Amino acid sequence: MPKPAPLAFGPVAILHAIAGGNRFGFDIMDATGLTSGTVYPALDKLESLGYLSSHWEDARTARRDKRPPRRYFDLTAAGATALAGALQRYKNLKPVSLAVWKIRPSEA
Amino acid sequence: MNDERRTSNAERQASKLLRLLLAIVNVGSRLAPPSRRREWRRQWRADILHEWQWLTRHPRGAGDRAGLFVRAAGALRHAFWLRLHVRRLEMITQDLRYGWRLMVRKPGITAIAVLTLGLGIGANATVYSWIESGLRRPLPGVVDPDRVVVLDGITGTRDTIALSYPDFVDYRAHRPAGVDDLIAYTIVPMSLRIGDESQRVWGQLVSGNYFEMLGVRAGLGRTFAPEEDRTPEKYPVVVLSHRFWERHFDSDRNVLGRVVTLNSHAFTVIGVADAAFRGSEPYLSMDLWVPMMMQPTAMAGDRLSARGATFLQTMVRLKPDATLARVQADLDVIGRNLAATYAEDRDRSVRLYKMWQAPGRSGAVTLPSLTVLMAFAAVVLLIACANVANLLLARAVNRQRETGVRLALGASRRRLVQQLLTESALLAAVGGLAGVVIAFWTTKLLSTLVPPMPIPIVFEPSVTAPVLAFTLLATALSALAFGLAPALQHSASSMLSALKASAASVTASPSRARMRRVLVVAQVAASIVLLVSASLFMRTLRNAQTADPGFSTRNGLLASIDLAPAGYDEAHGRAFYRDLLTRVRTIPGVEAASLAYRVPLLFWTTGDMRVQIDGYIPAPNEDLIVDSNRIGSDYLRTMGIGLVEGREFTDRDTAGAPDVGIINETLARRYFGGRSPIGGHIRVGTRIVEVVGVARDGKYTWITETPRPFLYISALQWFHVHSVLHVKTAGNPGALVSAIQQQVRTIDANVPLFEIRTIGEHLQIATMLQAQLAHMLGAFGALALLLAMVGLYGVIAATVAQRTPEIGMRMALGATRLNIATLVLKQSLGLTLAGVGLGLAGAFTITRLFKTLLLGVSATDGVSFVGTAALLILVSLLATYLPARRAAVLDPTQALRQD
Repeated sequence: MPKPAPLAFGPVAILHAIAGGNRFGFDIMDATGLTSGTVYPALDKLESLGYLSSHWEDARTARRDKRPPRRYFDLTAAGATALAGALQRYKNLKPVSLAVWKIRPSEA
Repeated sequence: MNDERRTSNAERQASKLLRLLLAIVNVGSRLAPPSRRREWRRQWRADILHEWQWLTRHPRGAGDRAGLFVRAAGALRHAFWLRLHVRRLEMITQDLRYGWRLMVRKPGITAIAVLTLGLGIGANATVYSWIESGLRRPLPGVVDPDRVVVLDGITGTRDTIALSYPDFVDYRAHRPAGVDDLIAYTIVPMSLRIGDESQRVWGQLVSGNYFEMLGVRAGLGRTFAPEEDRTPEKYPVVVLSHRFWERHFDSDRNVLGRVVTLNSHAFTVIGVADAAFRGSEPYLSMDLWVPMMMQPTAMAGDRLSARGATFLQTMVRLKPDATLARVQADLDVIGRNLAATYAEDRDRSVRLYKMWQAPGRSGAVTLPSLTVLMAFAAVVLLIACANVANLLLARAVNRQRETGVRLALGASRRRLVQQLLTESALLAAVGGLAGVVIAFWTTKLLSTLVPPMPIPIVFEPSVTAPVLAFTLLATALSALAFGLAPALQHSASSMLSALKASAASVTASPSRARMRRVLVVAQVAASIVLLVSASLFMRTLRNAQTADPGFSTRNGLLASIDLAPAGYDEAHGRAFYRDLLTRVRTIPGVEAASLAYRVPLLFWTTGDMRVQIDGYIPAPNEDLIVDSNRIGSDYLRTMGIGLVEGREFTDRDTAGAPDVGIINETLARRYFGGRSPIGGHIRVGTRIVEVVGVARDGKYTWITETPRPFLYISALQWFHVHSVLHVKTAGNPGALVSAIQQQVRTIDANVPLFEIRTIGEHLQIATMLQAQLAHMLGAFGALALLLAMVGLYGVIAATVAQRTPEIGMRMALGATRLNIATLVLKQSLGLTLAGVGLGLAGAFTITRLFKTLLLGVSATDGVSFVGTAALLILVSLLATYLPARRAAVLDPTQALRQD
């Protein structure tokens, strides 16, 4: 199987949020600051890539709160590997001085 | 009270907002693809309700509800995204399901298509599995085999030659920076005694770093330690091959430390090599390995210190960044230094070759044949694809209305092409699967076609992962090849005409009918090329089998003898040989008997000797190397080799008597000029051989070789514990086997007689490669012919069906049955002749490309060309017979009523 292309920032942030314990659509939006129109498709995409698995919430918990069970997401082993790889890539970006770029003459 | 009202008011407002949110979800679910709609709705409803409750309980501020509203709007984007992405996936499943139903509905057509593709793909997979096992991965078990290259010695006349041990040591000590390490090895047949039983084994005498350099580990115990390769004859140790250990030691783990007798010397088993490893010679499977320092024991005669004793093959492991050219340049420098220092190395150098390019080795020998096979397998697959394309085109007729309906309902052409290609891919996939099954079977068959041989040949092409990958590629390509044209053509038809179409008028669609005819002509042409080539190789095989090898091939019996296990020394060995010949010659039915160290035509040269010929002054960089054999008395008569001049060896040409030699005509012509060679002297090392006879030229190593100088020396003067008994019989040689065995047992029951075979059987080995090639190409040719004829039959039958009303009309107007049959026949013959013409022209161009592989037959051999053309025309008439008959017996009234 061909290696999937490296993940964009959005999906990485989502995997990161899920790894951090945010497992429902709205929690993930809160954690990442991404919009629902980005998060939900990305969740489906990541699931089809095998990086996530989704389940329905336990019906009893939901009934207690008088609402239907929600869909929540888990990181798979492949997802964890992909996340680790992506984080490593970001880590490889060495800090650079941006001061010079912020005071360009034309903008000043 | 007021408060309460305000709260309930707020609640009412809130619940109104919630209802609106849920309404968005309801509307949005219409956008989501049907298959995901329920799940999508469930997810969004639950998430929004949960968030709603959360915000009710933990209000964050005024913007809460608005924020929720914005977020819910994202649901629409999600639904739309699903529609775009999930639909694409679903469409493929839908097409696949539909394609599958079509395949199942017409099992006959499907079976033919799958079988056709399976045979085509299977043929390719089979040839590729051979390429994979013989060329790409010839040495299983070796780590990073791509970096291992062959190092051959070359002489001033650019002949390849083995290296001597001192030269190997020097090359290794001064190895260039790009060389990781260098190994040396040679193949030695030895006799191994375990307990009371002794047998011939094939070992390799290897330098101490052999296993380490190849990256082969011991599966059990260890491989050689450095000190075991320093002092001659100090460490008699042996590493067994995994296969040998399994067969002869029952995989006994206690084998380590056991003492076995090799050539009557005790050796200790120190390890068993990794299971995958077979040795460093492609196609050969070694039984065991012995360190180089044990050479004197393994081979008789110390060759370790003589720089002139060239007997070693060498291999180099390059460093990852090294290039062949750079390392070669560095080696040339070392070669020049050695040549300047040692007389024996004068005009010697070394040359690096990739494993499959080294001249004379199995890779370079089989490469041309494999290229031809691969090309022809591809042609067979193309013919198969043409057949399937033809079937699909025929089927397209019946689907014309379906296409019309689809177009009318708004299907895009792209969508139609996609659907048809999916169907082709499905068909190809099933065909590919059939191909893999066929390849499993044919690779097994291939390995059983190898005749039993006195050398441990392994020829086991098998369906490995790379072969599967190749098969997948072939399958994908063929799906495109047979699917694309019909798909494009199909979708190009206009909706209106498609909807109006009747079966007959569609078939008549000129472009489709033309395409089918072109395909058939191409098939016939391609099969002509294949059949002509197959015929040329069949004739080559026949010529090779009947070629005059320079010795008599009838009524000869060979049997190998090994005196080592019984512990013979030279004097006793000579007595044994003399006694043996005397006794065998008295057996009734034996016409003549003799001995030789080597049997001709066994693929490799083991008798190369550097000689000096008195009276012949070599050119400045000429290295006189002649091939040789040690033979007993009466050998030439036993083998039916003509004596041109002088005499044969007798039993008096033994140790103590002057060394004698018999030379062949080529040697006499080349090195003795006009003089009579009888009485001339040839120096071999320190010994001087007097020429006593001149024998006719023969073939010594390969059946295809050109005449080369050859020297026979006396087996009684150049003693060796191994020899092969040659017997010429009056009648069936098989009948004398037990009598001969009886005589050997009478002399000494401890001497084993093995590898008993007739000369005829032995010759099968010599022509094995030609036989494999001819048989495989013959199979390909037959397959191509069959496929082309199925194609022709299909087209003619379809035409007859389509022209039924016309035929009825003709009959009604007075055409006879013969007229009708002629009509059909003419059409078929037209197609066939066009194909034959094209094919002959193609064959004429193509067969020259493999001129060098042919033996005794010209690449433009008239018989092959004319015969093939005649065969094809004849078979095409057979293929036309059924449709022509069907047309001729049509009932005009029925035919006219049709449609």
